[in-house]
Parts: sequence; C-alpha cells; structure tokens
Amino acid sequence: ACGMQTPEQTTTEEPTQESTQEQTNQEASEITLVYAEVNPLDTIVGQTGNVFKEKVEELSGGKIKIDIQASGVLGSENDVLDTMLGGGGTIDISRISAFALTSYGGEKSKLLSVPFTFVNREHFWNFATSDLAPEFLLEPHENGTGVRGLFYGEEGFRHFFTVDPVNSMEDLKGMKLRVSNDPVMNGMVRGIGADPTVVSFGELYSALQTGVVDGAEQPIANYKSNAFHEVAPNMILNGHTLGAIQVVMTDEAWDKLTTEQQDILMEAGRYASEFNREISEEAENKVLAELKAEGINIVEVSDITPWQEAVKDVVASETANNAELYQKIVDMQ
Amino acid sequence: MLNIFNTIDKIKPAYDMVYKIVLLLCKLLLIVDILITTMAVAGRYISFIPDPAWSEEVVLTLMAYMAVLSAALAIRRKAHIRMTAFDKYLPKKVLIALDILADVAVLALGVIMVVVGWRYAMLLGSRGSYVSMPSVSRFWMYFPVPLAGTAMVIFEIESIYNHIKEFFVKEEVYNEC
Amino acid sequence: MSAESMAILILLGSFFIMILLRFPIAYAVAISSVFTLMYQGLPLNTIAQQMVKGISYFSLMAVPFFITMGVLMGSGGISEKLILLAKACVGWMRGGMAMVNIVSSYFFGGISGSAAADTASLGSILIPMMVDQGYDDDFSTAITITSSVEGLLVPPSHNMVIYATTAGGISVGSLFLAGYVPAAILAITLMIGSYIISVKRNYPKGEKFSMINLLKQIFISFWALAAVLIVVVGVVGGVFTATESAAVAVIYSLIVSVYIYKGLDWKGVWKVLEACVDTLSIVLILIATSSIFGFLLTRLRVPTLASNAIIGLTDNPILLALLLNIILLVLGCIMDMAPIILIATPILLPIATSIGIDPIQFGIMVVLNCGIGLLTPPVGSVLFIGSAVGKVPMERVVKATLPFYICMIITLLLITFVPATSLWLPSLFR
Ligand code: NA
Ligand code: NA
Repeated sequence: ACGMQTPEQTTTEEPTQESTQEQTNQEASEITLVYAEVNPLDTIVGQTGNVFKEKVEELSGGKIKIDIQASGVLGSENDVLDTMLGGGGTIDISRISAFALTSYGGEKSKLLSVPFTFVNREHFWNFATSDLAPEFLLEPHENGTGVRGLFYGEEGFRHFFTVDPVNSMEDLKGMKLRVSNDPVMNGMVRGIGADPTVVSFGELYSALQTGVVDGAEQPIANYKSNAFHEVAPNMILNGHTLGAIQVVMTDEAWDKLTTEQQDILMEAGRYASEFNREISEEAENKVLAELKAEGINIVEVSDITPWQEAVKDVVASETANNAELYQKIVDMQ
Repeated sequence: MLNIFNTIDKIKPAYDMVYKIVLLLCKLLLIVDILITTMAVAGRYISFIPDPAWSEEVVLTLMAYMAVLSAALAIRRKAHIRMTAFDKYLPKKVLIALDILADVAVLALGVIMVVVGWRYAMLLGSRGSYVSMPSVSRFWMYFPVPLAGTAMVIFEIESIYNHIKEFFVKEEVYNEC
Repeated sequence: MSAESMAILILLGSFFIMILLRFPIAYAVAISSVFTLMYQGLPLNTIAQQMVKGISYFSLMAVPFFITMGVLMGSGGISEKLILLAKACVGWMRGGMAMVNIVSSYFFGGISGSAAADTASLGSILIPMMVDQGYDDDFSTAITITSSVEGLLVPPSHNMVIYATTAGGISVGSLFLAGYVPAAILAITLMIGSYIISVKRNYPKGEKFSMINLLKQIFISFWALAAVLIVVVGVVGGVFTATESAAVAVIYSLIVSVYIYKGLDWKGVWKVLEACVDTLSIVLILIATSSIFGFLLTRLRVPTLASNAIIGLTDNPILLALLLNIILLVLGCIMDMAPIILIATPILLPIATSIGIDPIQFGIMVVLNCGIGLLTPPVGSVLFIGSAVGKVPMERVVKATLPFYICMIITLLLITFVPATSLWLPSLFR
C-alpha cells in the first residue's frame, strides 16, 4: 500500500539490535499516509489538515509523510469512507464531518449534529477537550468499523440562507429548503414548517438561481466559498448545528505504526485541533464582515427558543438511544 | 469436431432466455428510475404526492444496476466500443485470435469483479447503511459489481465459445472446398 | 524510475496496448487499472468502489433520461414533426440542419450545462433527423458532439462553478457572463466549418423558404415543440433542475407519442425501451469504468506532474499561454473534466496570472480545453455517447470531427490571445 514502503517493523521487533543497524532500518521505513480532504487547502478545514501534516512531519523528522489530496479529488466524504473501510491502504486518513459516521453506525457521533446541541463554540470545545471526546473518537473503532478518530475540529455553525429575505423562523415556513438527505436534517426542516427538498450539491447554485429551491444551509465560510451568496443573498444566523469535523484514520494504517509514531500523530492532532479552534472563529468573522460589506442581508437571531421548540421532537427521537450521554454533552456549556 | 459444436449449441436457448430476463430487468429499472424522479418533482408541488429524501440515492443505485447489467448484454451483442480502424488490414484468423484474447481478459475481469466485489459488498454492508435510509444496508449499493461480474462471465463464456467455433468451423469449411 | 512513474507507465501503457489489440474500451480501462492496483499493492476493491461511484452522481442521470426521451420522440412521431419544421425553417440553406444543430446546442446549453446531456438529448433527436435528410451519419455525430461543448460555456455550467470554487475569490456570476461570447464564437466557427463541408459534400438544400409553409409546420408540430418548451420553461422558471427535466420530458414525450401523435402504442413503447437499453448499455459502463482509471490518475498526481513539467520551460508569455493550453488538452485526452479542473487549477492559475491572463479568462480557457478533451480518444465521455447515440464507430466519429477540432482550436486561440472575448461582457455589469 501507499502506507509503508517496507512493511517490516524491525525497530520494535528487535530492540537489542545495534544502533547503527537500527538507524539504517529506520531510514528505510519512511511512511507516507494518504490524507483525503473534500475542501480546497485554503479553507479552514484544509488549513487544519495542512497544520497537522506539517506537525507530523516535523515531529517525526520527516519519517512520516502526509500526502494531502484536497478539493475532493478522491471523492465525497462517503466515497472516501467506503474506500477506507474497504481496507488496503488506498486512503489512510481523511477529514470528515462528524455526522458522516452516522450511516456507519456512529450513534455517538450523531449526537454532535443534533440541532441546537451546542449553544456556542466554547461549548463545543468544552466537549472536544473533555474526557468524553476520546470515547466518541474511538466509537467507530470499538464498533468494528475499522477507523478511529484522531481529533476534533469545527467549521462554524451552520445557518439557513435564502433567495428572498427572511427575518424570522416564521418566514421560512412553506419554503423549499435544500438539506442533505439524512433523517436528522429532514426532520429539522419539517419541524420548522418548511419543505426539505432533494437537490444534489452540484446543482444547488443553479437551483437557487432559477428558484427550484428557496434556500439551503451551510456554514458561513462555505456559503461564501461556493458563491451561494450571489444567488441567495440573505442569511439568518440561526446556527442550527455546529459543523463538527473530525480526522479519522484506518485501524489498518494505525496498527502498522509503532507506539512512538502513534504518539506523534496524536500530538500533532492536538496541535491541529488547537489551531483549528484559533482560526475557525477568526476566519468566520472575517468572511462575515466581507459578506456584510458586499451588501448581503445578514439577520441575527436574538431569541433561539422558538427554533429549539420547533425541533424538539427530532431532537428527542434522534437522541433517544443515548439520552444520558446526550445530556452530558448538553451540560458541558 | 462439428459434432461437439452441435451438442454444445443446444444450450443456446438457455442463453437466449437469460438475455431476455436481464433485458426485462434493465427495462424495469429504467422505468422505475424515471417514475421516481418524476414523482420527486411532482411531490414538491402537489402535497399528496410524496417527495421522499431517499429518491436520489435509490435512483442512483437502480441506475448502477441498470448500467452493469445492460453492459453484460452488450457483450452478447458485441456492441461495446472498440478500435476497429485496423481491422481491414488484419487477416481473419488474427482477428479471431485477438477477439478470444480480449474475451478471456474480460472474463478474468468478470471473475475479479465477482470475487472482489462480493467481498467488498459484504464488508461495506456489515459496516454501513444508506444515508437517507438507515435501515437499508450499503451492501445493495455495491452488489451491482459482483452481479455484473456474474453476468459478464456468463456472456463471455458464450462469446469465447462462439469465437472458437468460428475458428474451427470456418477452417473445416475451407478444407472441404 | 520511481514507483509512481512506473505505475503511471503501467496504467497508460497497458491501456493503449489493449486498445490497439481491439479490447472493448470500457473493459480495457478497468483491466489496466487492475494491473496498476496490483503493481502498487493496492486493494482490487477500489474497482468496485470506483465503478459504483462513477455512475452515482445525480447530474449524470440526465444522460439516460434524455437518451430515452430521444428514442421515444424518434419512434413516436415527434421527431418527424420537428424534421418538417426544421426543413421549413432552414431547408433552403445548404447544410441548414447542421446550423440547426449548432444553434440548438447554444440554447440547450443554457439549460443542461452538460455536454454529455446535450449530446444525449439533441443527438438522439437530431442525428437521425440529419441522416434522414441525407447528411452522413459520421458528420452528423461529429457536429453534434462538437457543438455540445457550447453548453459548457453557456451558463449555467456546473464545471464553471467547480472552477470558481477551486480558483477562489471569483464570482460565479461574472464567470457565467464571461461564457456567452466564447460560446457564440465557437458556434460561429463551427457554422463556418460545417458550411464549407456541406458545400463540399453537396449536402441537401430543399425548396425555397415559404412563410406559409413555416407557419403550417409550427402549427402541426405544436405538441412536439411543447416538449422542448417544457424543458426550457421548466428549468429556466425554476420548476425543476436540468436533471429532473429529463425525466419529466420522458413522461411528456411518452404521453404525446401514445395519445396525441399516436405514433406508438404501449406495446411499441415497451419495444422502444429495448433500443434505449441498447444505447445505455454502451455508455454507462464506460462512465463507470473510466472512473477507476481517473481515480488512479488522480491519486498518482498525473495532472500535478504534467503541470510541473511545463513550469520553468520558458519565460515567453505567448509560449507559456500555448503551453497552458497544451497541458490541459493532453490531460483532457485521458481524464474527465472535474478532476482536471480541481487539480490543475491551483497549479496553473498562478502561471496564467503571472503572464497577465485574468482568472476569469483562464476559467473559460480551462473549461474549453477540458471540453475538447471530452471529444478526444481514448477517453472522452461525449465522444462515447455520440458514437453510441449516432450508432457510428468511434474512429469514424473522430475522423469526421477532425475539421471541427480545428474550429475549436481557433476559438481557443481567440480566447487565449484576445482577452476581451471573455472579459468584455462581465465588464459591462460591474
Ligand atoms: Na450551460
Ligand atoms: Na478525452
């Protein structure tokens, strides 16, 4: 695989070997890990991946190389996960939205994408740095899915944006809103009285332009980078979910590493996670200011209670299996 | 030699039947795909018609089945696109030999698709579901691959047989002359 | 030689050899991918994964739906009415049907945004119509696939959205506006090209233009025209997306064929579906298996390698501009549009801006180059669809397309060296 160029792990198997010999072996065992990223490198998540790569290469003295393939050239999140789960080392690491694991039995991961779980960024980071986080990150590994989370990050809260101005939740009623096709998002849109509509992401710009859909939802940075503001220049900052992201690695690639190398990845992960926390809010505020300067109609939501009220049922049904755990997250604010 | 071919040729009606059944399936898959897509559009405007979240994933999966099954049919019709520009400069026998070579390679590919595809579909099926339908296993998304492999193997065997027959029968006819 | 270069050599080498040995292209791409995966020690299940991924994007569904629509219209009497209408319109002009084809693509491009969908829909209606009127089938197919590239330049264009997102900081709206004039230039060069060929080959020229006959034909073909209108009005008016319009158009042409023009009964419809499956059986598997091939080329970073090869070759801006086009054309021969745009844009755009090419102008260049790539062997989805819909062997289509490649290159050079072709229209709206 692209994983290891020499599969033998002489360094761990024969600790008594002479140091010169060991050095030669180590030099031979340079590792390249392929890292898939759906977004371009200059996005928040792309930069986070790059920082992770640099840190890993620095800490390992260049012995572990991360080959980032950005802009989704290796496929969508689900394509990449399917490839990783198939095994064989075609892709070793990928950055995914935490929610993506839901359709692979990620019951815990799903909790992070339940509407209005996190009241603010602080809240999310309380969770991401808590004792609960490692348990969540290891969920797919424990489930036998064959991947494990390395660290968390976020790309900001997701908000609705529309072709026509919207000042409150009431205004969204009856609108056709494009969301991803999963039950949680569909339930939420129905909850607020709008119609969830299936339109593929590739056709979304045109669908907004012609009016096939009245609106959609994205984090602020993605809203601008996909140029949706050109055709749907109204955004209501309801922040229904936080775009929680995580970097996952295949167990197969992980198990091939020495403990020392695994520690390097974890440390680089902590570093990248911290970096993500720093730039995420900053970058988003910058984009928000740019949008306002361009005359995009940005509406603040002063009272989030009616929104929360409207999606109560979805929240209850989606968290039913892990109610206790969910409460723990909610209590972290 | 001819006798053997005559005996084996008796299996042809069975092949015709398989072809007809697969063709029927392909037609049905195409119809259902068109109906679901139209329904999803209509459902957006007419309240009593459903506009389900699963429409996109289902349409894509059915089309995947249609694509691979119909491709196996095209093997039998010899319809697949290939470079035939130099055919007129090559002797008939060389052409048949090349056809057999290509058919054997595609047969091998079919076998790989059956074995690898089945394993992959089973593995992913045990680990994931459709995004819009949490209760439907991802197995069905990848099952078209081993299915296609099977159909390819079936029709390739016939095709290879026909080429071999062509090779020998023509020869004997030639000798008789 | 590094392991990566060896892998690329195996992938491309074995593929070309198999094509020369007359392997079906759909399976040659898959088999060469198997060799490469084995050489790299990667799992063969990549094949399963990529094949399914290759057919699994919704916009692609426009292709099977439009092909079905075209076949239904052909057998159900709709095309027949449209032929008479087209004769009344342009029959007086030599090569008139080729003109109709070129102009239709311009307008249809404003709906579908996909050259593949354009070829599938217009091709399955227009190619039989042209052959019926005495045009050669290879010429008819060639003009259909070439003019379909207009659709990539006329907005909406999904690929322009991909470019704008990848390049960063470019308005999709401006890029869309930038496409109209280059698409028109392409249309005009194609018209000139096809007119010359039509005169040379003595393609039909019907009776004199008659307004009365035209009005009569418009009246008779009302329901046929409505099929076209439903798609246009539905998409532009935001009733459905381009992909969905294709499915709706199938249902519509079915109803008109069976109940209004009565060219088909339900039994006939069932039979016609077989013709649809026959065409789709050739096209879809090619798209599926090409996806494995493209994935490997991507993973082996072929676009990056190719792009890096030209950096530093020369400082001459004119030569550099030509090299940018050449690199994109070469990549276009073996890869699909989207991965080229995604991978090559970040590398090539800085070179382009350094020699004074505007990012919007470069976007149009990228789209047209990749568009030409869709028509070139050995891997070209629109070429494949054209060959399947027109029922003409690939190499005959390629041969007939040769003069039109020249038309496209002329357009490309105009866009490259006359910035106003793409930048003038957006500048009016700033
Ligand atoms: Na277009
Ligand atoms: Na090509």
